[in-house]
Parts: sequence; structure tokens; C-alpha cells
Amino acid sequence: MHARTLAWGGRRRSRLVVAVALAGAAIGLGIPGGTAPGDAADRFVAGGPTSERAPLRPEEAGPVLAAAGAARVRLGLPLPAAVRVDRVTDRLDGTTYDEVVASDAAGRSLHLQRFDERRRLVGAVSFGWQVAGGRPLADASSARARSVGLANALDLGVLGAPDVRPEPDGTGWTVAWPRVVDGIPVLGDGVRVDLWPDGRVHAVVRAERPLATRPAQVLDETTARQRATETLGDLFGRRAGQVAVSGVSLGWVAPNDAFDPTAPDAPGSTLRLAWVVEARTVGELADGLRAVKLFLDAGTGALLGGDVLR
Amino acid sequence: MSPGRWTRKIAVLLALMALAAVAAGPARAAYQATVDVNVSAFSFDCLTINDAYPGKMRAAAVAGFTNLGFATTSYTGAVFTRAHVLARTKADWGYYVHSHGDHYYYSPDGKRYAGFKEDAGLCTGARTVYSKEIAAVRAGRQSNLVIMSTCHLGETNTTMPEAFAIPKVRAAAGSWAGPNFYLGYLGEAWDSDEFAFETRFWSALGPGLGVGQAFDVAKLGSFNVGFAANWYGSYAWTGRAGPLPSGCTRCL
Repeated sequence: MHARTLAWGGRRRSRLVVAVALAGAAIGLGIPGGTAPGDAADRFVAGGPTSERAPLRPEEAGPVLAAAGAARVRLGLPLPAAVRVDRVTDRLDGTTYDEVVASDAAGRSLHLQRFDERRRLVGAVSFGWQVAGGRPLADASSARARSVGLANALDLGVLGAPDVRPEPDGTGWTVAWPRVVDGIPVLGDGVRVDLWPDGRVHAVVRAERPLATRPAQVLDETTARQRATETLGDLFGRRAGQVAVSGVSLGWVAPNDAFDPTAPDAPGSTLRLAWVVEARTVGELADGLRAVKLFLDAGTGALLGGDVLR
Repeated sequence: MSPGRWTRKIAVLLALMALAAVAAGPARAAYQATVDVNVSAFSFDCLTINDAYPGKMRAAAVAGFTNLGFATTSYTGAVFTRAHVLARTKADWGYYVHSHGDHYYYSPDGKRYAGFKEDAGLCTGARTVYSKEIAAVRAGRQSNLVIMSTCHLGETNTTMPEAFAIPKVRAAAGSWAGPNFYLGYLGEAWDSDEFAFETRFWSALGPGLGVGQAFDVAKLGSFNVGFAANWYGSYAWTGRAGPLPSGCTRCL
């Protein structure tokens, strides 16, 4: 027994020596330790689930259910027979929210609501595709007025006139307030209200991702355009003559792996200020590719990612 | 408990496990799905970079169809040709394509049909696969889940759903159009939006949520202004492979 204890102790020492040696080598080689956002062990991998969920403890669930009850009334959603509350970690967006899924007596999912850590409503959807209902809203102005009233009642923090778009085949309306910070659009963020034709709520989304510190110096538009032209030349090589810059504007963007398949599959969860350059294709290149977007760091001009329109 | 009772219990358990394996595995494996992804026009072969999105959407689609019980095979690059699509489509119960899509002019008929570009390993000059051609090969054969990850093919004038025998109706709230679902996008759809939407759609499918609810959940994300998706088929379908009406008992 004594010998065995000594043997275990010896193994422990050996493991410690190996661990110290590995740590020293890692530090020497500059390999980062710990987990950083986007590099966590549970990072999103394409083909895998976007989220993880775990039931909330009763003492945590209570305030969330209270918020859901109040919001449900304002949203005009039916009273459920049962609810389930989970804390959801969204690996794709890098966010965490509490989700309340309501079901009827038959166990069918009626609707869901999502709340952020401040118990603000960040998402809701009424299931069942309820196109048929009461008298349809007369026009886009009616859809806008209905959505403004709803957004105010839900304290969604909207300002200004929203964009209003009809859904296909008269299946409702989409009303959106894109997020703008100090006059600069935050791409993908904002508030959106989807209505059924008669004005009942189909869905509500509020996206408000964190922003990085604004660079001390921002490249001017001329310099950004020049950097973009150079980058397009690098990307398109001998076909660069078939792609031309069609728009340059500042925007807050999520860095992504659009042109770097070795980068993480999920976009960055903290948005950065960038020059967003859209370039359209012409000629035979346009047969398979309509446009690209480049995200150039507003301070350095470095490529942060982009987008592709096939 | 006597040894005989233990033996009987174990025998019953083994029999149930064998039945479950037969039901979940080989039977489902009969339902073919094809995932075609166009990469060549935006890869090192043609430009000086590799676009990351197609590979990610391909991985998501393969996992998604497989999770639903389809026998899934993916094609990309030189093997994703017009001839390949038309050769496989007759046996496809599920089909996914990520490519350039539009309502293309078909000169023999003097009219436009929904279609998408093959890859074929070509930088330019890829041929179009028209819905009319798919319809002719399939000849009305039933399909399950069809996703056009392209521009335009979710628009109301699309001719692609009928090519896969999916009626252009949205059967919901107690109605049923068969075990099928067609998903496409309106107007110009950027890759980042298609990737985010599809990833959330595949992830939402499963216990408790059907295809229509997964569509609703997928819309709860961050997208570029103007992004819009559309669907036809049965809202309350589970998405599970096969011809039987596997309605989602927990869907509205």
C-alpha cells in the first residue's frame, strides 16, 4: 500500500513536470491560454447545434415568468396551460437569454419569448402561421402605426419612422427599425416586428450586440476606397476588371471568416467599426457572383471579413 | 426473480432494440437526400481566395438532413453538374442547393423558369438547371424537404416547388399538404444571412418543433436589411424522411 502511494506520488510529480514543461513551452511559443470569446472550447462549429439550453432553477425562473406574463398580454398571445423556462447560450451570436416556451393542454407549443439578462424582451414568436384572422390592416401606414404602438407598449426603445415591407402573398407585414449609433448603422441590429395581415403579432426581435471601442483615428472615405480597390485586386486577381466598387459607408460589423476559412465559424460577438465596401460584378463573372462586401477596419484598413452575394 | 424470467426480459429487450434499430436506421436510409454546393466560381481555382460560407452551409445541410433520417450525400466542385442533378433528382426525397439562382429565360419555351447554376468546376460559363428539367425527370414524384439556398427562388412566381411536387400553398393551423416543405429566399440574399437562417433552421428542427416552427425560430436573428425567406408545404410536418404523414403532434 505504501509502495503504491509512493508510485502514485511519483506519477503526480511526473505529470506536474510535464505540465510545467508544456506550459513553459506554450508561453515561450506565444500560445494563448484560457478561453477567449469565440475561441471557447464550446465554440460554434458549422453543422453543430447553434445553442445550448439548461432549465432555470425555480428562484431564477420566477422573475422571468413574471416578465413573460406581462409581455404576453401586451403581445396578445394566448394564455398557456404550461410553460418551460430555459437559459439558452446562443453560440452563433455569442449571446445568452432566458427562453419561455408556452404550450397548450395538448402539449403543443403555442409561442415563445426570450429575455436578456436585464429581463428585456429580445424575441417572441407566435406559432401556427395564423394568416387567417380579423379584418386585414388597410395598408403600410396602418401596419406602421400598429407596430409603433406595440413597440412602445413593449418598451422596445424605438425611435424614428420604421421601414415597412409587405410579406409575400399577403401573409402580413414586416416593420423594422435598424439600429443606428451616432449616425452610423449597426448592421443586423435593431428592432423588427412581424404582423399577421390583421395586425396581430407574429414575431418580435430586438438585436443589440456590444460595440467595440471606436478607433482613435478613422480612415477617410477616399483612403478606404483606395484600400478596397487594392483588396479587390488581391482577391479577384486577373478578374479584378469585372468587379467595381458601388458603395462605401461606415458601419458597425461583426468580424467574420468570409475570406478566411481558418477563422471561427461564428461571427464575432463584439461589433467593430468598419468601412463597408460593396462591389458589384459585371461580365461573365456576374453569371455566378453578383456582389461582394468587404469589411475594412475603420482605423487600420485591415480586412475584418465581408459577405458574398451569389 | 427466476433465471427464466430474466432471460425472457432480456430477450424482449433485445427484440425491442432490434426493432428500434430497424425502424431508425435502414428504413430511413432508403430516403435519399442530395446536398449540392457551388464553390468553384469563388475559390482559389478561379480567384485568389476561398469563400468560407459554402463549406459551412454544406456542413449544416448534411447534418440537418442526416438528423432527419435521410441518406444524405453531398456534391461540390467538378462533380456538381447539371447532368448529376438530373440523374439523382428522381430518387431524391430531400434536396439542398447553394448556388446562383434566378428566373432564367428558357429559349425553347420563350419563357422564364426558376433555376440555378451548376458548379462543374467552372469559373464562368456554368450551365443552368431549370425547374422545367427537374420536373420532367421527376414526373410528379413526391419529395419531402427542398431548400433553395440561392437568390430569388423563394419568390411567389417561383416554379421550383412544383418541380418537386410540393404544392405552392402554406398549409397551417389544422391543414395538411403532405409531408413536404419548400424553403427559399426573396430577392438578393447574402451568404451571411442564408448561413445564419439555415443554421438556426436546422438547429431548431427536432423534438417538439416541426418545420414551420423551425422556420419561425430561424427568423429570430440578426440579418441584413431586406433579408426575407419564404416557404410552401406543411407547417406542422416533422421533417422526418419518408412518404408517410409524420405530422408533428406537438405542433399547432
